[in-house]
Amino acid sequence: MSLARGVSLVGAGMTRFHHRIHQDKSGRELFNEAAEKAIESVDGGIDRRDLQAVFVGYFTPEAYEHQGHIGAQVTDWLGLCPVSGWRTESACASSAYAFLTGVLAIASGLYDVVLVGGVEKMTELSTEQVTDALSMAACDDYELPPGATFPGLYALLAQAYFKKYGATWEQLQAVPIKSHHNGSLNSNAQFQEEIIDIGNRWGARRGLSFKDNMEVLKSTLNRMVAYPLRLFDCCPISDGAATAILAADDVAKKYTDTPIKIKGVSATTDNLAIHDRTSLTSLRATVEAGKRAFSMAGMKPKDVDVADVHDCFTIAEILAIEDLGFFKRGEGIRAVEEGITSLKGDIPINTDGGLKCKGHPAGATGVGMIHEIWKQLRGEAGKRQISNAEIGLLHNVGGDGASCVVSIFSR
Amino acid sequence: MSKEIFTAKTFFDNLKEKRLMGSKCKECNALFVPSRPVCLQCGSTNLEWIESKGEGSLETFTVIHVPPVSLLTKAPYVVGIVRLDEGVSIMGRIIDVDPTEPEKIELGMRVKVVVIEENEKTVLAFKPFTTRST
Ligand SMILES: [Zn+2]
Repeated sequence: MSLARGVSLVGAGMTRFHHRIHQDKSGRELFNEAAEKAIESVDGGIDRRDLQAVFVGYFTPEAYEHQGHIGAQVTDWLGLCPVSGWRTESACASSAYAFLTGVLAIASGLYDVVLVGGVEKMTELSTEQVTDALSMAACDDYELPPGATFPGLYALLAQAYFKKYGATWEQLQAVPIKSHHNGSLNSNAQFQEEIIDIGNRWGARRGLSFKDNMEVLKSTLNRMVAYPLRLFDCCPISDGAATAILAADDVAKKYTDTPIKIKGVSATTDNLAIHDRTSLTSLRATVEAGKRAFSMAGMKPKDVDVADVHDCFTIAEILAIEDLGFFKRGEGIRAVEEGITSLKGDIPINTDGGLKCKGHPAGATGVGMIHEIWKQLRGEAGKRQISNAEIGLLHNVGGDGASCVVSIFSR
Repeated sequence: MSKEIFTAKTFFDNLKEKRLMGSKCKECNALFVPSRPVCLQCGSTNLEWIESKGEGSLETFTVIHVPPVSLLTKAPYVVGIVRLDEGVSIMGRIIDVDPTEPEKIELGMRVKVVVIEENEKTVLAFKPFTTRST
């Protein structure tokens, strides 16, 4: 199975993801900011009127901005009317679905060049209200009445994983420690500090000081969110937008000599409520999307040089790297502990700091991840550059695994 | 013969009367709790209502410290997934356990259905029980 017509990335741009700096901007204003950066990023330049359609992921604009009709909203503000504007929604995978829809639209022959992206303007609401908005990704009939929250659902998976493999919360902390290191090298990240530095900064106000990352993570500063997951196990609430420009392979050379080729794509679903699923220690949507994307690309997990996987919670990163086939079941945590997924490891994961540090404006996340793969494959990732990165993988999950997109890119 | 209609309303109307209802595939005998209209195993839409005994063991749990707005006054509270003795799993609130001592809540412990009314909603919950062996 392959695309009827090849599609490439010819540009990408994002706002920094952040909880404070965008407070005075609306969703469409953020989307414009990201889109202008994508337009500027095109090597040979691009006339905005070349963009024949816009695909935008936004999870819950109704809750955050009392705004629907997002497709027309963004084409209007970008000055692109009457081109078509499409909103895709698949919870936290909303913009990976926008990307995939854009790919399909070009592959179908309908368009040659499109803008894809996503946005979420979350800080309009309190933490509890955001918790409510995010929980719309879960099953309203059967998961929400007992009181499950988004972190709570992943906490259920974490407990099941610990039990099955004898792993511990302490071991899991290798994930945020790595993420904060990578985030400290990314100017687009919400958090650009090592955990120890954040701990000592927060601690100073309370007369606390810390010797190392683990001491911070075990302290009262790292408050419980949903046992066993604490604050540093969770991605933050963020505002932000990310965009990319896609072109058919046969027109891509008009814009750049080095397009990033889309080799494999897949989108999948699983039962909405986690109690209906076949496993509590694996996300079937990831397993199936991974298999299909690798098959289309004619590649195997060992061919991947750099991957951005969906780490909305620490346990999610472990499930992802096992489900995608980078590691055997039950061995993901040890791989992170041993540094195999660090910038210097065999398979660097979340070089941008992941959702944990780069931030997680839900609707923008998928294309935010594509932005990192774009940077890595072009050798433009600065201090976090993986040398000779040729093959990159995107893994974006909707909710707690009821939907998933995997895509494989090559230089 | 008219087909059964499996709605969430019927599920909760039954739960209010302390009956935990599911649907069973008449073609392949697969069981689903809560009820669902299409068999996940064989694709049949020929299913019938069945009542679960409502007993099982705790498969996994969490303690919610940051709750949704509607449960602000209830946190911390425990939510878990229970493996019913009939072989299927379902999510519920776990009561009569101490949310401040999660390490004492044992995975695998026996629990049975209780129904609580909260915020004008019928909520499925489970509480620990011991079966006395003679
Ligand atoms: Zn059946």
